[in-house]
Amino acid sequence: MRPVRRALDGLREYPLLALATASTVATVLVLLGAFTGVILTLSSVLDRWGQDVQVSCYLLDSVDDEAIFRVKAELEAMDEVAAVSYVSKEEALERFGRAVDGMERILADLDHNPLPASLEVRLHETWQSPEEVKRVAAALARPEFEELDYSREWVERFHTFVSLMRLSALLLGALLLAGAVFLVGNTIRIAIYARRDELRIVRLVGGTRWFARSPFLLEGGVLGLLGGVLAATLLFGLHRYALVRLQGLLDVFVGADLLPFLPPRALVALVCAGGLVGLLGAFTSVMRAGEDVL
Amino acid sequence: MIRFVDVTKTYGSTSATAALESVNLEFAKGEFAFVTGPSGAGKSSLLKLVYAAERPTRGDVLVEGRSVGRLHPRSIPYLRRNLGVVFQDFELLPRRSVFDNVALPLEVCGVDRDDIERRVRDVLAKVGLGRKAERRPGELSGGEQQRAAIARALVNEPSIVLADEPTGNLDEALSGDILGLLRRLCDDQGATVLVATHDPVLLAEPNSRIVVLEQGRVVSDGNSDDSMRDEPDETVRDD
Repeated sequence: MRPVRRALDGLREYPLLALATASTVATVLVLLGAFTGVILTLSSVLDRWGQDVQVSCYLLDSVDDEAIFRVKAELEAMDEVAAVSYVSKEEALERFGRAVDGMERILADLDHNPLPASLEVRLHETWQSPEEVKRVAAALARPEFEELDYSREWVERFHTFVSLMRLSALLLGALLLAGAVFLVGNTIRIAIYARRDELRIVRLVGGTRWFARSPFLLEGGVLGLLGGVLAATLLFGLHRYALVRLQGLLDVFVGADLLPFLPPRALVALVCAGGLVGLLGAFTSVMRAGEDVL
Repeated sequence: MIRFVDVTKTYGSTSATAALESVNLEFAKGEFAFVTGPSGAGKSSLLKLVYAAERPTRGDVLVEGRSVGRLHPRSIPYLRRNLGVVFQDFELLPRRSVFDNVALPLEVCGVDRDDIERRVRDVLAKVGLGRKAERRPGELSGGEQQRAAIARALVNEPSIVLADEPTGNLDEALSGDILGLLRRLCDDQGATVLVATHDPVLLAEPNSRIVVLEQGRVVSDGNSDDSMRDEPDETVRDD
């Protein structure tokens, strides 16, 4: 009747309750894991698009070739700038035609090319946060440019969106974890109640409070670990059979490999989190059980 | 070994009738004594004070020189490890085998597995349950369950054994058996044995100290061969 055996006996005694609790912990952890996956994906999208942050400097039609190459050289000399490429009016028109279906025919009917030539400036990674892009864009300004476009609002909005997602995932995660702790605690409380006679006898023959409590703590920990393993398995299955099918769709919009499976370390953390949730739930219950019981 | 020093015990509000009132008693090492009296006389309370299931309201109980009244709650388990307690309703774990039940006091002390095995088998043989070690309490007769409870109380070789109505559920022949077991324990191990009972079979045992309680007070304290015969107690006969 060592504590481990007593804990396992307890689990065997109420298998349905144990299963329900482990499943609840698993559900919470799956939600958390899925959220983490979404956040990781969004972050990687942000990183990828972040690499593409570039400033388009639209040239006035009146600027001649010599001036264009002088400005290009000036920009290339800047520390913040990774590369500068020239897009002629013709190239711009061609790209525009390619980007929108059926547009080529409409553009062919135009009597003149309305699109300006531009210098496309790609920034080094270190200068890609919204604030930095804004500052560098200001430094790029030249009288030869009609307009600068660096999709400022879009970059800022996306950053805000991901930050909000991270914050809400944290809050929701904390709430879900608290709920799981509460549920495990309830299961353990039922187990304590069901075995209160046994506990009284253990105490009467000289068992310390911790001797009486230890099987319940173990039971909570085991339930949590089970939940964690279940969650890791479910997430693996979800990724393997559902998300990879979405990959093709995502390729079109955001590029390949944007749904990485949770790394092994995150999975181990998930299982450990399950164990911790179980242990914490059991701990709250045994500490709340009355002196007469535990 | 056990001393009650002016012990009063009340339950609930202070105005309630005392379960024990100004009790002064002393039980020496190796002594065998009965505590008797009508229901509600305070017999169980007296024993509960020894194993710290209750604390005295006034006065003190000293067990092997240690004050139970001032004992820190964390020290209670260690006090109980030196005591063996036999309860009227056995208090066996219904879903565990007899072996597991008897092994429990050794497990809480952290005794190693081999030692537990040897000592439990020994004590079960002593109480005549050697062949029923793997049975569950529900599969045993009342007498056998009480023997299992006694085996659990003895397995630690305690210096004090408390038995609360140990023959309450048993017939006369079995009561005699149980008494024989307790008596042997006292003689062989030199343990102090305190038996709370109103079983006339037990009280007829010669050469025993008998403490009579009535409404929480000690009304008689003497040897069965003299005091009980000289001062027959009506309350005892009533039970």
